[in-house]
Amino acid sequence: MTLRTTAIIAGALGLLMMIAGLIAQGMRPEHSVVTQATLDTPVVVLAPEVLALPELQRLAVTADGGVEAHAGRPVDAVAWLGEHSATYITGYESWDILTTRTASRITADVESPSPSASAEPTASAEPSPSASPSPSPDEAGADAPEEVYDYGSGDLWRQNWAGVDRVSVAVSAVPPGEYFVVNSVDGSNLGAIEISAERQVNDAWISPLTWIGAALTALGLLAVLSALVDLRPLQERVESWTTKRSRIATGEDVKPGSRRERRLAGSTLPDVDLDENDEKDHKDQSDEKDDKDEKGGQS
Amino acid sequence: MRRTVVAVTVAVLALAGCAAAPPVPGATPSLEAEAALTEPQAAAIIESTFAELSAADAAKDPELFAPRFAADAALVRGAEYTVAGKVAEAPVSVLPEQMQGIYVSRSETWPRMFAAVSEPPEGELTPVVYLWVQESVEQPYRLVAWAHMIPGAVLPAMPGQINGAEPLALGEEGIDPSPRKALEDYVEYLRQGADSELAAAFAPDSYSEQLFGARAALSKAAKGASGAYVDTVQPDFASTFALATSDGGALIFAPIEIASSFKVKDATLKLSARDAPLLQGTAKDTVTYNYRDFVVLSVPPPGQEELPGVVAAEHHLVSIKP
Repeated sequence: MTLRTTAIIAGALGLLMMIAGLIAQGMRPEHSVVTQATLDTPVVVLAPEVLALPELQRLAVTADGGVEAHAGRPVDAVAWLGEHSATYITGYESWDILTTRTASRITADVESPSPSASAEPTASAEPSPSASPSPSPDEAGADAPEEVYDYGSGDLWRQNWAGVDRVSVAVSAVPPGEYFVVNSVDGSNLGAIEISAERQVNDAWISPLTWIGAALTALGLLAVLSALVDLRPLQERVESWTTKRSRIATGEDVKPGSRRERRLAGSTLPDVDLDENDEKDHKDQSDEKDDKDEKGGQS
Repeated sequence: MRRTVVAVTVAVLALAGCAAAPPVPGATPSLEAEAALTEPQAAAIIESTFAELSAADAAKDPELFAPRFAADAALVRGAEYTVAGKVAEAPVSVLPEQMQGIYVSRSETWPRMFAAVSEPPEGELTPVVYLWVQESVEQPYRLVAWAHMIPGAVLPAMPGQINGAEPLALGEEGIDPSPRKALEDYVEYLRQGADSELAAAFAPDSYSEQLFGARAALSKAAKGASGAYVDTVQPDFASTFALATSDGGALIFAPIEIASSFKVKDATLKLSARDAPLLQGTAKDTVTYNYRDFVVLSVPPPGQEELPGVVAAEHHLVSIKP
């Protein structure tokens, strides 16, 4: 397999990687997600273990009219909730669906918004929706005070928030361990709850995949182009240029004393008189032999 | 090629969906503050109470303080309005609304209470101890009693407002005497008088001394008219609360009902101008003064030689019946 073939294969893989990266980028889920649930009770509740989920950022509840939100001690909130129909948000089924539980409290009193069967003979200071004659529906709608449901004392709530048509509270504003309770002011059913969360998305691989794929694609594209385009004239020109450069390099202008001059002049090994040394060595060997002969005659 | 494209698409879609799974609720985090009321809650209740009291005082109308007043406090203030409406020299008692201490409990049941100690009012009066009670989760906290501190008395240190004081059952065995026993003995002491053997079981207090002094004077006056004077003292255990103090003792908040009957023979009693507005009917030879008193008893922790004693008490006249 040639280098060009390898590059083309890498380019093909790179193209697939780049396409995959771009599609993944387009399909990547958002980090912020808002999950909604419709409500059919006047009260919605989030227990402290749900509020403790680290992903939760903000809670918003919509209604047609005034909305009140409270934070309270669990034992107090549970006692209060025992008197009212409520929807409990218990967690997530998926990022798009909340799991809920509804506790309904059935009362026989339908006409009056007040759950207490008070027998006090004194006239109530609160406006009665049925007793006050209104001149026309339009005018009544503009001037009639908002009906207030009697939820009892609010002394048990540690914190309170209020809004019209919508109340929105940061989850961090509710102290750990406390219940979060929202109710409509007029006792009617709430609209919906929206829970904003910041979720973890495993998208760190998308950008590297895309860029590496792009680089490999470019490499493969070059390899393909090199196979399609005849480069021999270009190679010939390159060789000619190289030869020319070489010819210039073997010109006759040689600097005196330069390395090139010495190289052209040949070897510069020192001259050694080999004969003189040989005679001297031969003489030394003869003297040693005469000394040995004299020692042998005396013995 | 088609298979490759399909495979890549599926892989991309699978990878693109790599958002973390939705979280699952775990353990319930612990509360930062375990008290039944936080400081802002108590402050809001106090502010609301005195706002209603101010409006009611201005109109001398008990209906205006009804949402925040109940029980003995409503009766006492109503009686003060009655007297003040008839006697110019008898204004209603001044109740300071600035507090120097708030005692909350960590109670998880109802009824539950919190108490507050006011700043010293103007003049030579001592600070006032107030008691608020919430009867049920749907009811608001209502002021049910108040009493000035006994001169020289010291309230024991109480746990902070973060976790509140532990509510004690009246029969609490870790306290000696138990709150019930202490209250029973003190009420018996009030019945028997200064010569009672129980006098040695309690630190001296000006409340009992004044009660005994008045009893002696009125008994002497009744005897002079061939009559009799009788004090009937009854505790109200159902409305009595006890909190553990920081050092292991107890602070008992107890309403006490006292009926003082004055009877003479062959004569018609005439009430003072100050008392007459409270008379329900026509006085003849017998009148009974009904009081709704409030006593705060301090029981020291076990092992201390200090005696239980009254730290705040007040004698409130609410009605006179023939």
